[in-house]
Amino acid sequence: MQTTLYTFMLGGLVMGCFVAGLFFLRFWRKTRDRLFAIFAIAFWLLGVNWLALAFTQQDEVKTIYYAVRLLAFVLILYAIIDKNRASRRSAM
Amino acid sequence: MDDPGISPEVRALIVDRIDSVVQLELLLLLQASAGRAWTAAEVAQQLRIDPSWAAGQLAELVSRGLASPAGDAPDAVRYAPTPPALDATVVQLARDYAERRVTVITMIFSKPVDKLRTFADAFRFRKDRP
Amino acid sequence: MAAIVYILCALTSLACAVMLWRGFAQSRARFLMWSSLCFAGLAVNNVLLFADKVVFPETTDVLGISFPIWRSVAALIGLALLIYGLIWDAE
Repeated sequence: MQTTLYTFMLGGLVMGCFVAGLFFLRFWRKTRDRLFAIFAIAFWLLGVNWLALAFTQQDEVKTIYYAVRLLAFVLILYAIIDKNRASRRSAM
Repeated sequence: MDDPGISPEVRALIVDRIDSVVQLELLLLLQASAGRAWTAAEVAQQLRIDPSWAAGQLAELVSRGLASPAGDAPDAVRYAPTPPALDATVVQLARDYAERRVTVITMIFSKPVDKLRTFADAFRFRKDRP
Repeated sequence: MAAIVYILCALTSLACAVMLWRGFAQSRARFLMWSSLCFAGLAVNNVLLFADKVVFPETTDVLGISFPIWRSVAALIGLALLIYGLIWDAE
């Protein structure tokens, strides 16, 4: 039962990440601010991470899964760094 | 919010860096006495506002790239637009404020809060924008 | 290796949550509050992941509910709050 429940929650997480990413994509188109595009990709990557877990029921500590999670957060870090560097140069 | 009499540069300055009439008056005060360092107490006396509030507003001006710490006294600041070319716009703004006070004030108050911009700006460590 | 990754993810989420909360405190824009809470939820998710895999590898349940479920609940609440904010408060 708990496995089913867990898989169900993973489904919710995947859908949530998909939707959040879509919003960020729209914000990127509206503002042309790279940060939103990067956040969209980051959330979609998190979604992919949870999607893969749902399908394979594997232990998260296995290599590929936490690499995707890592990539998502590294992208977010990059967005923050990029935002602070860009303030030196031109607008945005 | 559009007024043919106000130039796009002045409008951009208001939109980007000025959120209240107090900030505007502070900025113009600093600019008019170019080079002079003001402390929060002096500013508070000049503009007849609360000194602690003045200190906060001065810090806000610094963080928006319109003033810089003066070093003479712990909380003293002086006029220092970033980039320096912005000075011309500030001069223009001073003129506009003198001639079309209501228009400028209306522009300050009719700024809609850009939530997306605020979201992105939350990730900046220093808020002085170019 | 996984431990380092989870810590990094947790710290990044926490940093985002803090930056967004400060932005909310300054601007009172509610969208920032919801986003901040989302990153807080993700931070909890990562911390629990670390706790589950590294600190308590033998334990499977807390209060009768398995670790993975607790982790997902934290992340789900965070995401739900974010989506709420995206729809109602973002523009």
